[in-house]
Order: sequence, then C-alpha cells, then structure tokens
Amino acid sequence: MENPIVKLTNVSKTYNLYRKKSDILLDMFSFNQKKKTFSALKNISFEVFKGETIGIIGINGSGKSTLSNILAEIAPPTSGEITVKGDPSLVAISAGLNNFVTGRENIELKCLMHGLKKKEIEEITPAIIDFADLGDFIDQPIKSYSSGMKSRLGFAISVHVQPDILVVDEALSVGDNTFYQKCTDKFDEFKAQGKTIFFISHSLPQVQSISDKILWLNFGRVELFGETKEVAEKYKKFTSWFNSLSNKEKKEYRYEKLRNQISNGKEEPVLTKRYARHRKKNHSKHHIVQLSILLLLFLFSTFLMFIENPLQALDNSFNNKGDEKLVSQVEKGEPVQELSPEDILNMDGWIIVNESSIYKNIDTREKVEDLAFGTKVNILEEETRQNFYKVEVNGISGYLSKNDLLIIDQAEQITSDLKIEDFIDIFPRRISNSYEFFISLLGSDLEELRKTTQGITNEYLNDDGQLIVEYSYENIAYITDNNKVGTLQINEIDFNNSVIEEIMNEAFIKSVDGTLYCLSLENYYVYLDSIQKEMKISLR
Amino acid sequence: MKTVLNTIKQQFLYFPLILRVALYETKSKYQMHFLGILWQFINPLLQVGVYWFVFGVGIRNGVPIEGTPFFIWLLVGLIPWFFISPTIVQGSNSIYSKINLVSKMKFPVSILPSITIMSNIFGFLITLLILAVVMIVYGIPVNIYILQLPYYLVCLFMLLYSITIFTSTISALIRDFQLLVQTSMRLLFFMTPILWSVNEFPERYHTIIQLNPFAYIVNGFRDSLLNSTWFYEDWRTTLYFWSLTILILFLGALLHENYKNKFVDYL
Repeated sequence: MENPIVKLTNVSKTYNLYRKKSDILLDMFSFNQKKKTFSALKNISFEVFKGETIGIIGINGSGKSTLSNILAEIAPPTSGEITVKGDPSLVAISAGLNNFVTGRENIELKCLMHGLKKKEIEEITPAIIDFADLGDFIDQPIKSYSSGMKSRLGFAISVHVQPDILVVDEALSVGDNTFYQKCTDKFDEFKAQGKTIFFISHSLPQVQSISDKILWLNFGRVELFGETKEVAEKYKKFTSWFNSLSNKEKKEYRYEKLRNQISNGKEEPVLTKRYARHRKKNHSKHHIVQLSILLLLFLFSTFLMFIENPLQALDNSFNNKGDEKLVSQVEKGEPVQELSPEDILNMDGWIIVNESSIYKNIDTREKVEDLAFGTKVNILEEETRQNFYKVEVNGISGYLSKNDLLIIDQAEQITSDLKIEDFIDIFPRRISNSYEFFISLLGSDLEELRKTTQGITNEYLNDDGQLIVEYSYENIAYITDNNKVGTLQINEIDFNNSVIEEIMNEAFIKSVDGTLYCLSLENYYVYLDSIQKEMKISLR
Repeated sequence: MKTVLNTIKQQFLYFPLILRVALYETKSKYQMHFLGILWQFINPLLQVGVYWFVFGVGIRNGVPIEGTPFFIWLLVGLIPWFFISPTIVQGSNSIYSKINLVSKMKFPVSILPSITIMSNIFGFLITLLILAVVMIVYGIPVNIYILQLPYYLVCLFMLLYSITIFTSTISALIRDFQLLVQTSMRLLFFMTPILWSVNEFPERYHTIIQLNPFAYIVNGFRDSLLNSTWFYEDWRTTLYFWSLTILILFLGALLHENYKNKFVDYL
C-alpha cells in the first residue's frame, strides 16, 4: 500500500474566547490559565492518497473552513499531528488579494509570493487572465470587482501556480455555470496529473459531482468519511431531518452542540499537548540562559560607557594611593616655607601676583624695579627675619616678599604637552593662518622685524622702557628689549572656547587672584591674561 | 541561538524572493500618484530644505559646524535618518498589513520586515548618490575613512532588521504598539544628533546621548565622510551598539518564532 499524501491524526483546533482586549495580553504571557475555549475541530483523523478528490461537507459552523486552513498549512493545529507531502494551495473567496491594485498586479504579487521567477510569471499570466475571463477589468483595481470576479481571479491564480494539493473553499459557489464547468474541467485535468484536491462546500450536488470521497463534518467532529454515494445519502437524510425541525428545535440542537465545543479550560489536558509542552520547556530553558548572557553583556557594555578610560580606571584602582599623594602636592602649589639653603639653589622662584616689587633694602623699602606676573627669579638666600628672599633677576639683586613667590624645583617644573597649533581656535581670525610666521620672528633683531613685516601701525616705549611694535590690523604686537624681539602679544583672544579651559588646567603657575596663567611649552612660555583677553608668547 | 541563526539564514535563503517582492512594492507604491516615483525625491528634498533653512540659516546663522558647511553636515546625518525612520515605521506594520495576503499561502513571514527594508534601500542608495554629487560640488575631500562606510551600512541593516522583526511581531499581536513606534520615531529624530552635534552639549551628557544606537550610525556616517575617526577608536560604543543590536535581534527572533504560526489567530 502506498503512503498517504495527507495524514491527520487526532487533530484538534481550539480558539480562545476573549472577553476583553486585555485578556489577549494576559494570555500571551500565559498568566490567564482559566480561559474559555472553543474547539472548532476535535480529534480529527483521516488519510488521503494521491490523486483523490475529497469533498468536505457540513452545515454552517461545522469547522469546514478551519479544516481547510489546517490542510493548506496556514494555521497550525492546537494539538495532534498533520503530515502533508507537497505544496498546498488554498482558494477561498477572500483569497488574499490586494484591494487597491489592479488584477494584473495582483497576479504578479501572488505569483511572486509563491516564489515564482519573473519569467515564469510572464509565461503563466496570459493563461490566468484567460481562465479568469475578466475582460477589461483585469486592469482595474480589485475593489471594483464583483465577488464572482474576485473568486474567479483567485481560483485562476491558485490553479496556475502548480500546487500539489489544491484546497478549494466555497470558491465555486459564487461562480456561474460557465465558470463552474471550466473549473470541473480543470479538476479533471488535475486528477489526470495525479494531484489531490480538497473541495469544500455546503452544496451537496456540487460535491457529489466532483468528489471520489466525502468527509462529513458536524460541529467539529468527523461524522462520516467514505465513498461519495454512501455519505451523500446519509447527509441528505440528515439535512432533510434538520430542515424538518421547527426553528426552535433547530436552535436548541445547535445550542446543545455548540455547548459541547466550548470549554472553560478545566478538563482535557490531552496527552499530546503535555508532551509538546514538556519539550517546549526544555527549549525555553536554553533560551533563558542565552538571553541572560546577552543581557549581561549589554549591561556590562552600558556600564563601560559610563566610565572614562576604563583601562586607566582599572589601573588606578590598583595603584591608587601612591598617585593621590603626588597629585595633591602638585595641585596645592603653595609657597614652600622651610627650605634648606642647598635646596633653594636648585629652585626657581616665580612671581605669582599681578605685580611685585623688588627692594634694595628691606627696612627702607627702597624699590629697585617692578616685576610682572610670571617673571622667573634666581633665589640666592632666604631672609628668614621678615619673610623675604634675596633674589637676583636680570642682573639686579634685591629682596622680594615670600608671598609673591612660588618656588618650584627645576626638575619638577611641568612642561605642558600642548602645542601652539592647539591655540589656533582662540586666536583672532586674521592671524589664525599666519601665526606661524609671526612666532618665527621671536628672537630676531628689531631691524629684521621691521624689514620682513608689513603693516606696523605704531611703535612706542612702555613704562618699563621696552619698545612695543604694534600691528593693530592683525591685533598683535611685539615687545622688544635691547633691540631683540622677545615677546609676541596677541589681543582679542576668544575666551568662549574649551581650549582656554585646557590652558588654565595645564598652567604651572596661576596668579593669586586667578586672572593670569603661565604655561610652559616645549620651546615657549605662554602667558594668558583673562582680564585683558590677551596672550603673550615668548621664547624659553 | 539556533532560532536566531535560522531566522537570519532565511533572509539569505529567500533573498531573491525578498528582492523581487521589494522591487514590485517600490514600483506599485507610487503608481497611484500622478508624480509617481518623483515623490521619492520631492519628500526628502522639501524636508532638507526646511531643516536647513530653520536650523542652518536661522538658528545657526550659517556658521559651519565642526569645520564643515552646515548644509553638508546636515545632509550626511539626515540621509540615513530618511532611510531609518520610514523603514522602522513601515517595517513594524509589515506583518500586520500583509498577514491576510500571506496567510493564504506558505510564505516565510520572517522575511516581511526584510522586504520593507529592501524596498526602502533603493531610495536610500539614490539619495546617497545625490549626496556624493553634492559633496563633490562643495569640494569636500574624501579620505581613506570612507572605507568604513560599508561597515556602518552593515550596522544599519542589522539594527533595522533587529528592530523591525521585534516591533513587527509585537504590533501584529498588539495594535497599540504601532502607535508607540510612530511616536518614538518622531521623538528619536530630535534625540539623535542629526540637527545638532554631540559636542554642543556639556561633556556629562555625551554618554547618555550615545546610548541611542541611531546616534552611533549617524555619527558613524559623519566619521566616514567628514571627520577622520575609525570606528574601533571608540570601542566602548561599538561594543555597546553590537550587544544592544544582538539582544534585540535575539528577543525579536524568539518572539517571532513563538508566534509566527499564530498570527492568524490573533487577528
């Protein structure tokens, strides 16, 4: 005996009856254990062999359409097993046509979705159009079709995509005789090719004329399955009995049967179902493990996002303590009070007030010279008596108040990694292109400066006797000393830029009032004045 | 893991089918309109115009941003977004809108989101070409960093598929979700650094902005075309992006696998 092409064993299909929308949600997370269900099909078993035409018959609500969906493998059965060998194709009245596009495009789309290639589609389209016999309507949107037209088109497409199993659900009941004749011819053709057809209808004469066997469904159960003649006779008897009932009796009969189909979810755990659930549980355990691994990875990566420089942070947590001490010492930057004479010789003093004075004599306070912020002095010795240092600067020696000085070990003097290039953004626009040229002139002679540059607008001596060469068009000036170009002063520095902050952080000395900063670069000293908004650059 | 791999395998297995249906969809999409395929360009063009006028000319006074003319800078961010946003909104609806059609035949439902992505890719590629022309006109130099653009495209497709397989499954079951997706996309447009730059925010907000996976994509496009940064230089964000994408993909594929046969029952 050959193998059956379609085999159903104990197939049941139950639908959940929800009262509210929220019940669906609860059901999805399977919280709702006590639910009302409706068994559209219950324990259906039958076998169908190659080349058979099966008629499925039954009154309204007997589960015919549900069975057709299961046969076409559109909806899975709730429990039980179904094996179908080959490609099923379903023809129904509302056969999944797109209402807004034309018939021709629907043919293309449906064929595409059945996996046909463009060329194949072009080949079968004329045959489909011819079979559907829609005339000019083929280029009209589906919404203008009559129900007969729709079902004709649906049928035509379904039979032309070469299915192995054809499931026809009520589709022919809307067609006229001519079309019906066409279809039966097509069925005969299919039969000759050895294909299996399921023909679903509640019209007995139609079923009788087409089928080899009939399956009679009654309220979700197989009433009878056998040769056409035998089943047709019994079904005829049943319908005439049913029709002879009074309306009230009919209603009662239906009600009785329907009540059997509805359950409140208390009984029934079918064996097959339990088996399925067990397997599923094992499956979902794997999923939960994998999911939690992924979730952990995600949380870890999120956590990483919030740590600046994770590798460094890790490193720091190991060698934390030593570093901290060092940092705090550097940051404080207070004048060192007690120093031995040998220490002092290795150290530089830096003026950290806006202006300080150097005195010849401590007692008379006789001034020798004023010193600006950021001037470097050599410390000769400590004058403990009155909190003064004896210092030497530019060949002049004198006394300087300890409070005006910051003493830094030469070895510890921090050189910043910043470069002049980093400042471009804060320079005024006019010199941002040519700043390199202006800086290169530092250290040259005054004469050379006058020769090589254009646009000098003013030259004057300042209070300290230095010659200032001004380029007001470029917003810069040079400060010269003894005919040497010593310092470049850039005005109108843009203080609304993050570079400023960086400079302030990198500065190795700050004025006590926090307005002046001095930065030591590889070859230059950079002074920043936050009040005047100017920057001075001089060679080291 | 098997479920996820299977889902991905299906995308490749049915790739010709995806391509054919997507082509058909793009063709038929604009057929009802008189201007037809032109709408594919009119729409983004109008939007770019308005954003450029309001944000570039108006709020920014036409000042270049990060050394690039604002118009170009905006375009590089907006073009991926013009692809992302409709794809996610339509993709979330892809199962629901097609289930009637698809349920009457044997059809791999998991490729429906891919079809949406694919049918939007055509327009996206064309706008990318336009962008290339505009960049040449503006004289923006192209450097070696453009080589990482394919990487970001892969990121983009992976993220889009992960999100759409997840959202399309949920919104087929719970219709409210579709509305949520639409609203979120509208909000995300402003939460993603498209009209503004991350650097304009104080440092402490940078990380929070980067938690948005679309920010990774948009910044990635700018890094490839305008700036000079490799994607692995910010390996933390890269790690974060991929772990998030894979997590969503995993959730989406599992959920889809669970419900793929039951969609008909839930309608």
